[in-house]
Amino acid sequence: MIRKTILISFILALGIQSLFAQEQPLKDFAEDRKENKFCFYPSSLRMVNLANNPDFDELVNGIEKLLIYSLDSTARADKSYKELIATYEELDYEELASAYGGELNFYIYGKERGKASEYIGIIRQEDLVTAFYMRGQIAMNKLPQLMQSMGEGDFINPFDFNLDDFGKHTQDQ
Amino acid sequence: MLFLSMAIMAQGPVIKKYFNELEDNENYTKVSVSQKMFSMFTELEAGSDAENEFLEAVSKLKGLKIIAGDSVADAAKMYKKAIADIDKAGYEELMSVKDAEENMQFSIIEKDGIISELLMVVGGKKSFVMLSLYGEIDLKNISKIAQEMRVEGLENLGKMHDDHDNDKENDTY
Repeated sequence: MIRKTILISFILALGIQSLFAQEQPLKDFAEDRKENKFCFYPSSLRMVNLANNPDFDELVNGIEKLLIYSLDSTARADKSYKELIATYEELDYEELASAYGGELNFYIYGKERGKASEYIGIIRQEDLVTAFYMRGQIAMNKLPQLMQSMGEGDFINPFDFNLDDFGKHTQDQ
Repeated sequence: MLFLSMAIMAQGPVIKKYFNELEDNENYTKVSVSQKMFSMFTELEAGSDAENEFLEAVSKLKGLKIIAGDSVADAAKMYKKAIADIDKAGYEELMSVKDAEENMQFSIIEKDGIISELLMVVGGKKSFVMLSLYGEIDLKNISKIAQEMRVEGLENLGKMHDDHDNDKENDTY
C-alpha cells in the first residue's frame, strides 16, 4: 500500500513538474538580471483594467499565469536574452512573430501543451527590455483594439514599468 | 508534387534575399509573422461577419514578412533595385502607383490560378517598405486583412482592392 502511494505520488510529482517546468528557464535567466518582477493570475490581471475595458477582459480571460520581468542594464547591453530564446527553441518552442532592427524589437515564441499553450517573449523598447512567460489562451482578435486602448491610457500597461505614470493615472480617477 | 507545393507556399525569394542582406542593418525594421501565429487567429470563434471574413482570409496564409525603414538615405535607389530584383525573379506586376511622394508596386507569384505570394514595395523620399504575404492568397480578402491587421504599410493592400473595385465599376459603365 505504501509502495503504491509512493509510486502514485512520484508519478503525480513528475506530471506537475513537467507542467510547470517550462517557465523555469526564464526564471533562472531573470533571477540575477531583473529590475522588477510581476506575477499575474486571472484575478490580478483584471485589476489592471482601470477603465473596465471589455476587450481587455476578453483578451485575458483565458490566461492562467503571466510572469513579467524588466531586465537590468547588463542584460540590455550584452543582449544575453538571445540565449534565452535559444534555450526555448531547444524546448521546441516555435517562433510566432518577431521584429528587430528598429526602435521596437520583440521575439515571441509559443508551444502547445494540451489545452494550455505557453508563450515566452522578449520586448525591447529604447532602453527597456522586458521578458515574459504566459500560460493559457489569448484572444488574439482583441489585440488591435487593445493596442488602441493602451495608447488612450484605459488601463495600466503591465509592460510599462514607469510607475510614476501609474500614480498619475490613479490620481486622475 | 508535395515538395513542389511546399516550395510554392514558402516565403518568396526576393524578401528572403533582402532579409539576409539587411539582417544587421539597424536602419530597417524586420518583422516576421509565422503561420502558427495566423493559425492562432483562426482557432477563435468569430463574433461577427467582419471577424468571420477576416478569419477566413488569414486561414490559408503561411506567413508575413516586412522590411521597413523611414530614414533611408538611398531610398530611391533601394526601390529601383528591388523592382529590378522582382522582375528578374519572375514576379507578375499587378499594380503600380507613382506620385511625387512615393512609388508603390504590387507583384504576385501565381501558378495554376493560385496566388502564392503577394509582394508590395513602397519607396518614398527617405522611406522604403517591402512586404510579402505568402500562402494561398485570395485577392478579394486582401482589404479585410489590411483593415484588421494594423501593421504599418499593410493598409496599402486595401488600396489595391479599391482599385480593383474601381476598375470593375469602370468596366461596367
